[in-house]
Amino acid sequence: MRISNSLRLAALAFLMASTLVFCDKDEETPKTLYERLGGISAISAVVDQFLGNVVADNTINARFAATVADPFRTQLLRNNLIDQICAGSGGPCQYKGKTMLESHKGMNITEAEFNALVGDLVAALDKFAVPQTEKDELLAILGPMKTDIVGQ
Amino acid sequence: MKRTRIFLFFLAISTGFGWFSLRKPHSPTDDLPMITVAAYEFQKIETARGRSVAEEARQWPGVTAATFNEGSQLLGVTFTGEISEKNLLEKLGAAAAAPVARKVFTEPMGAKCPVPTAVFAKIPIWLGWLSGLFSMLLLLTFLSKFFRKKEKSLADRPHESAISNHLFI
Repeated sequence: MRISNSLRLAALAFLMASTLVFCDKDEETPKTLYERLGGISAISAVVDQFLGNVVADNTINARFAATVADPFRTQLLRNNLIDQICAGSGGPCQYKGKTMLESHKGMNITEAEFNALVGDLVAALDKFAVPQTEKDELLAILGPMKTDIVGQ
Repeated sequence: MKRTRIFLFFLAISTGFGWFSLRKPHSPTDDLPMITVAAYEFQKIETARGRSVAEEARQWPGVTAATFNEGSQLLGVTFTGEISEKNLLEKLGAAAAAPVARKVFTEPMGAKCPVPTAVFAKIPIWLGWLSGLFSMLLLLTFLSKFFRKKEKSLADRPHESAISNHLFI
């Protein structure tokens, strides 16, 4: 009688354990965009490429004259861009810069300039062969910022 | 006296909290090396050559990105302190077999702040350190007064002092 009780208990424990294992598998969270992009090193490489594209782009490079001339401002812009993409894609970063509206106020940025910037970002993503899904997701995060940037 | 000590204690705690809240959270970007972004123009270069120079430059240590823009004929490069700009210019010139110079952009006209941006950005860090230092000093003052009082009370009761000395020895 005692043995059968122990067996029952063991079977019950096994059943519960297996249920927990299956539950754990079911609740496996999908990878964040940050993880799919390749983490901070991949984002940093894309941002560097993007900045390289921007300074070589005559449509907008004059806008970055003061930033390029000051190494501290360059670093600040680069880190803010990385933080923004990292935080927006679900990474462990916190954007510490000004809001898009604050930082572009009075600059009177045109739609053509904004489109050129987006083009430079897309070119940087293409350079690293970022898949279309991840590219679309990232652009969808950054796209809504357009109203805070253009014509301010 | 007791009131002063309580005030000092609470002041130290609140300053400590202030310092903690002023601290910026650590971000993975804090560990990234400083970079320089620059555009270079060649005296005369074909598009294919420009592209191959960019590809070559990307392999050099210290260069984090390089791109050649067909429209502007400019080479955009981002690089760390691992390579000096002089060295980079020499290497670019050799790779392109053409004279190369850094493109200087004309800054947009307008009022310019005379204080460098770096100073503005460092103010919260300095404040944080000052606040931390102040709270440490306050805590030390509080603790020194506390221990001084304990020493005095032990001196008033020599038998307890002897016991504690015996215990510590």
